[in-house]
Amino acid sequence: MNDVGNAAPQPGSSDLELAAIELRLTAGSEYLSTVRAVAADLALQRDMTLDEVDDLRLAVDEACSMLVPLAVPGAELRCRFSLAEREIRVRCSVPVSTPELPPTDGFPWQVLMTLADSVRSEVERGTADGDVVWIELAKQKVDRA
Amino acid sequence: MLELGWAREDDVVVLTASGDVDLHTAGQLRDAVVSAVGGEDGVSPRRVDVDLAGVPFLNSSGLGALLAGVQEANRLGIVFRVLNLQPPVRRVVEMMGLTEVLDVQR
Repeated sequence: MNDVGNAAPQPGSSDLELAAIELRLTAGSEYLSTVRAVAADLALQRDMTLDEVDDLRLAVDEACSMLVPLAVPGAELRCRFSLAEREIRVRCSVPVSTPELPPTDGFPWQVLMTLADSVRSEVERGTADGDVVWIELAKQKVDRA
Repeated sequence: MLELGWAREDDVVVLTASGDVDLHTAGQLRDAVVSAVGGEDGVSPRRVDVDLAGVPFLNSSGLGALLAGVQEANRLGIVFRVLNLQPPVRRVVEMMGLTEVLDVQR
């Protein structure tokens, strides 16, 4: 996996996944408050600062808010939270009828890029759930001596 | 759930919002700010204050709703201000460089 090329810990190397939580819910805007609550709770559990908690909550919300309108009606939104020592990585995905990436020229993408330490998005064709679009973001904990 | 309140005193309208502003509720806020700017009886106020003291969360759709109010206010030549931001909301407004555009008050 080729991710951000800086000094940040890479998944699969020093920053091993300690635990993972997956949420599955109907891809509707009315349920995004639940995703936000889970994101904030996990960030607090991982001892992130209040700003980092706010950033993760908003980043996950923005990612899901871009995916929900693309989802096949009635489909499932999945959010997998991967917890490591230094970061939380979240992959949100929905099955789509048109295999296109979310627009990267709007406000939501801009906010997401500002909040998260890394962001990726891909379309996967012909999975067991059909065509799936995902957005993956990572938020790192700031070193606090 | 987003609750909206509306009060007019002379030529100032104060719009109060309470609850999360997200993909689900931003449309409500957009409609409310645009109609507050237009004036319920078609007579625009001199100023619209949007009080967000009761809003703990606001995302990019919420920013879009507020910017729709700014745009309409500019068109009609009235003052549009945003008041009482909670820290997470202030953070995203500052991050996106919208403090001046939204005329955020302390």
